[in-house]
Amino acid sequence: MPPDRAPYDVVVVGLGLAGLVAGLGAASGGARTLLVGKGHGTLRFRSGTIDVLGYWNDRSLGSPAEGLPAVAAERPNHPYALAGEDLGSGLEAIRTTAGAAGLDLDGSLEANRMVATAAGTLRPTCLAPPTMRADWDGAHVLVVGLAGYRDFQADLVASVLPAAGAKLGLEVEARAATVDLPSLHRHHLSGLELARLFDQSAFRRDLLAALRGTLGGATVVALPAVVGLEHAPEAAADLARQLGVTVAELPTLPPSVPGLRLELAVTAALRRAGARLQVGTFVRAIPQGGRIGWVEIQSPGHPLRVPVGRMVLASGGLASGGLEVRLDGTLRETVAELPVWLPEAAQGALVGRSFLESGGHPVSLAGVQVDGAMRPLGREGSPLYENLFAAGGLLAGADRAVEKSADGICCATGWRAAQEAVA
Amino acid sequence: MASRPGYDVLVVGGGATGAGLTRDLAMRGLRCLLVEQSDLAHGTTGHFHGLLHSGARYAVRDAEAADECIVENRIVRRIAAPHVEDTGGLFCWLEGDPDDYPGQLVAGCQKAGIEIEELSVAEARRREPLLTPRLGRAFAVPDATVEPWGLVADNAESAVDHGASIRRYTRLVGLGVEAGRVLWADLEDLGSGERERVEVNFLASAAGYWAGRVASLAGVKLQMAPGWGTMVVMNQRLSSSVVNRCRPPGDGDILVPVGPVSILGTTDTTMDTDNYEITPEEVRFIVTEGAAMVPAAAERRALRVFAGARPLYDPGHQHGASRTLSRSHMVLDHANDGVENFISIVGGKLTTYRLMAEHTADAVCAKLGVDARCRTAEEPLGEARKAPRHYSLGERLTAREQEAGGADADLVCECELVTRDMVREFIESFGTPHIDDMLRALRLGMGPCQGAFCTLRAAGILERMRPSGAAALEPIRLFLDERMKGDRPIMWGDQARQFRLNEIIYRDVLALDHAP
Ligand SMILES: Cc1cc2nc3c(=O)[nH]c(=O)nc-3n(C[C@H](O)[C@H](O)[C@H](O)COP(=O)(O)OP(=O)(O)OC[C@H]3O[C@@H](n4cnc5c(N)ncnc54)[C@H](O)[C@@H]3O)c2cc1C
Repeated sequence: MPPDRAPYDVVVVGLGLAGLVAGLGAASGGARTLLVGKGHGTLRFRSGTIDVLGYWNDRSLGSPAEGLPAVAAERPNHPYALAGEDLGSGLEAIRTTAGAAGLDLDGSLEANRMVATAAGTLRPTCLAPPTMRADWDGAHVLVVGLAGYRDFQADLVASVLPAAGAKLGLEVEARAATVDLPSLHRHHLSGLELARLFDQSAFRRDLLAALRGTLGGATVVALPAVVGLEHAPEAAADLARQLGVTVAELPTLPPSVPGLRLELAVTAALRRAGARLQVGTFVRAIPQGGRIGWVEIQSPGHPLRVPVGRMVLASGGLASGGLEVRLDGTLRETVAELPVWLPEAAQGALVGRSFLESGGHPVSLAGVQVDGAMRPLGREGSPLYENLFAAGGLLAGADRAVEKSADGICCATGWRAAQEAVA
Repeated sequence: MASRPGYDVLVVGGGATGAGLTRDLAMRGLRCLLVEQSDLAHGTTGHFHGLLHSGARYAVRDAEAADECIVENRIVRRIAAPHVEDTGGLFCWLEGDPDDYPGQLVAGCQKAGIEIEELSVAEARRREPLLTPRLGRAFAVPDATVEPWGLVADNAESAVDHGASIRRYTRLVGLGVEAGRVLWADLEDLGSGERERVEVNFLASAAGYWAGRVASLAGVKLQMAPGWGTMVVMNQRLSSSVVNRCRPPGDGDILVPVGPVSILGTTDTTMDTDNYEITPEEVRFIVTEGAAMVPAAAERRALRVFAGARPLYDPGHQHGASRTLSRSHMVLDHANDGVENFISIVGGKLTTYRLMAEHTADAVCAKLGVDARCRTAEEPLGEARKAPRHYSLGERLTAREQEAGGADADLVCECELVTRDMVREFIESFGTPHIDDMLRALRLGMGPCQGAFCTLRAAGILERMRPSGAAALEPIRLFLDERMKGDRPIMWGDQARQFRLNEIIYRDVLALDHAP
């Protein structure tokens, strides 16, 4: 039997960006908040930028603001159609929290900026750390690979970057160099280990010594986005100052160091605000009448039952395990067994034939349908539980990878869900 | 008109049969040229279920096939020990399966000399803890598994040691027939696109399900009935022995442990095509049937699917399901079709590849008036003097680390333990390969992460060695699309999750969708 006194006002399930934003919203509103999740969220898989809206209907957008009205008008179940008004507040919450930890996020809804990636492509984003900013037009880029680090292939980046620029009308020149240092001499160097090396001034000194000779007329030095973890701003500033050119970080394969920096900044702020975080446990929500009665937190021995005042479900989409495809091709929501909406196009085949199918794969639009208060809806279209709110990748109606909208959706819906949960 | 000093025999097809035939002929002193249009073992041999049959599967309905299998099973274990894993096999009778089949199975096996032993249900479950609670009876037979690429490579190497020549990526595209004899053959080098005409003394076709097409080049009509079968690779070894259903052979009734995975199968669809499209329905069927024997199959992750075509021969007038066509092989002397120096080998199984080669070589020798005995059953292949082995999980990593002189292996693909040197060497010897070629040759990208990491890495190594500038992302796109074919039919559970994760990496983070 569940205990009768709820130790928490708000239980947030999921530790991705949506859960973190919801946690910030709840904790800063004075609610006693518990955040619990099976694993770390997708921040660690992503760029560490805050993407809001890069494309709509395959059209590239100069700014998110330019596209948001069309989204609301054309796709009524899109998370921005439902919670777009809270986008600004959600973004601001993340920006101030990150900023307080020394991690600035530059940009605004009025402009998308282009960040370069480890594939040599240029992609639009809304907010980005200053270390990803560079003036690409007219740039002479020296792309620097690090021996022993496999997830950043400098030759590939240098080959693609000029063409990627040309596609956007930018003139970019690039060449590659690989730096080989004794400290890099081991196989399987992970991004995280490299970031810790970058935190050390001794390593940076060695790197600078190796780089100086190869600089030529470069105006930008492009490095994998592993330039420091705990002392990232300092590490990047040091390199830029000593080299006398812009140093740009290029997001690459997971684990994402910039994503991790952001996650650490936000979780630290949450703890300071009195929230509790519990990582590594699978959670089930148990209904009781017309509400979620408690959550069952898996633990060795017997499951822990935590009574729920209000609950924010931010367990993510397919990649995070919030949604799951069954053997028969239908989808289930894994925490509260909520009904999952599947677009009609997905009923024939969940995915298309080509990996980069233009317009995306039908299954990506699947998810939980909610009302304007982020309350999950039943098949008949009315809210299922009075105390349950959903946010983030779990929600139906958006293909985040196509739209380049994942982070903005998390911010808007996470913030809205928290407001409703503390109301 | 180019010509070459004559070979005694031109062999077409570098599958198990063609490689075995070339070895056999070479050991009998004949000079052979083997041509294979792709890589060795790229045909059905590389797309089969993995089972070195004991013959038990055929014991009830096809006594001849059962006899051949058990004899060859013992021979292959001996001559190709490093490529055989002595897994043993179980026939599992489940509640509701035909009552009379176990009796027939035991009688059939005893008649063919296949060791069969009934186990108590408790003993069967001790050996295979994941077997269904519906298990009513269980029988142990000497099934094993065989790794086809190594087997074919060793046959090819032995053939070369005995004086044969082998040309890969070389396709037979034309034959010149005059006065009832094949006089020349046109060979196309698929790398350079160049064609060369070689003189032919004798032609032996071991072209698998393509045999009909090869024959037609000589104006000979040979009707093949390719029987396509789908197999599902599960991300775990679900059993340590081969698990068969104890009932008349049908679809989805075998589960074969192969290295770190298990392969469920199979189906049988007669269709003369090179591009068989696997449907999600047939995959679900296979998984559901497999789960009847080992319930965990339904919960575990399907890693990929593949299909192969049985090289079945339709001697005429027989239509319908190909499972009823004979699986035993036939040596066809096309003198009966008016071409004197041309023989095809059709049908058969991988288990009996050596016997098929022997029968074919016997026929070739008889026609050429060569008197030489077959020695392939006695002489072990390569380093086959080792004992049959059991798979252990750390095996491959240990091997790679030994290659690296005891240091950490420099891995490009962690799932399948492919090193940077392997990728480099491959690129060096193959010009500008697709990443997909690396998958086939090195297993790069075949593991659970579905290429999430190694695709970018391999493309980077490729770009460094063979710069292509703005087109540098093309290999990634092609590879991701190629993977998609195998992924689509198994979009559920962790596989769907990994697919979406990879999409986040390549479409979202790396923005390949708007790349130049
Ligand atoms: C689904 C399935 C499961 C099976 N499971 C088993 C099993 O568990 N155990 C077992 O013993 N057997 C099994 N078999 C049967 C076995 O795989 C085949 O009988 C065997 O692999 C056939 O080998 P092959 O060398 O005759 O043909 P292939 O391997 O197909 O070789 C023929 C080769 O000829 C080449 N070729 C064709 N035309 C040309 C040309 N014009 N020029 C140059 N080259 C050419 C092809 O590229 C190909 O590589 C299975 C078959 C299938 C389809």
